[in-house]
Amino acid sequence: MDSSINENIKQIALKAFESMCFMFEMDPDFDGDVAVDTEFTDTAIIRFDGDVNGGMLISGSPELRHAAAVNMLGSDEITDQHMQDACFELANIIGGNIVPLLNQHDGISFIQSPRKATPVEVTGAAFKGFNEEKVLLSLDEGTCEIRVFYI
Amino acid sequence: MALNVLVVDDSALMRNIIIKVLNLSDIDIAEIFQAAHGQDALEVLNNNWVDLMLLDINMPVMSGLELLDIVRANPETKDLPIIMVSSESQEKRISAIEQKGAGFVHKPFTPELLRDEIQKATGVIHG
Repeated sequence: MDSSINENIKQIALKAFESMCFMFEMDPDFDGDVAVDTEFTDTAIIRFDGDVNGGMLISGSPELRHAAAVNMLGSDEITDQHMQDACFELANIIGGNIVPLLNQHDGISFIQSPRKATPVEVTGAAFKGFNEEKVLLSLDEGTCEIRVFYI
Repeated sequence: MALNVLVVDDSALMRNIIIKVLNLSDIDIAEIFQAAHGQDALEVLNNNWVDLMLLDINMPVMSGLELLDIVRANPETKDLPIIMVSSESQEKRISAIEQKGAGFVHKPFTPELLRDEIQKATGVIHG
């Protein structure tokens, strides 16, 4: 893990959640009981190749996925498709901003459209031997895990 | 001057967000067209007058960059104001887009940023 890249990924993701979903990081100094849901049932992935190769997986708790769709659409009538679309769009935005951090030779990398991750991608087995950065975000409307694999 | 705007993005959710921002802004909008990729957008452009196109980059069937090249090569649409709305952050790619005469709004964006870029691209003062 590279602490500098890890912190940059966290800041990029927080900015995306704030701007697109009006969600904010829980106060790190808050010492009350917070239920941190890490039972992620759905994971979106984007892959990138070129100067840097790899993928980014984003998993949100059910509460976060619902709230993201509600806040992005401005409607309470949310379907499973809306929640998936919201995760895909967040993956697209966060991934697009992360890739320049990972480019190693001042080159260009190309990003593939987000889609639902396969089990082998979710377990990380598809990225054996890649560097990995893992960020867990605790937001006011749910939790989110971001894993970035790159080589 | 009320604008006819074409929003091109493969994400229906992102099209909704952009349209919501357009409707909440003080920009005078006549009609908003939607397309899910470049090929769809060409159909809209062939059949309608469009004053401004907001265009994603990464899309299936025909990407935003391919569409940008086609539009700029057509004498009837070569001067159409276009703003790319994308999470693309690589400076070389953004620079290549701007050299083709398109504006750029980076995702995530604020409503104010999108409105200001539209004003710059169209030359229409709002508010």
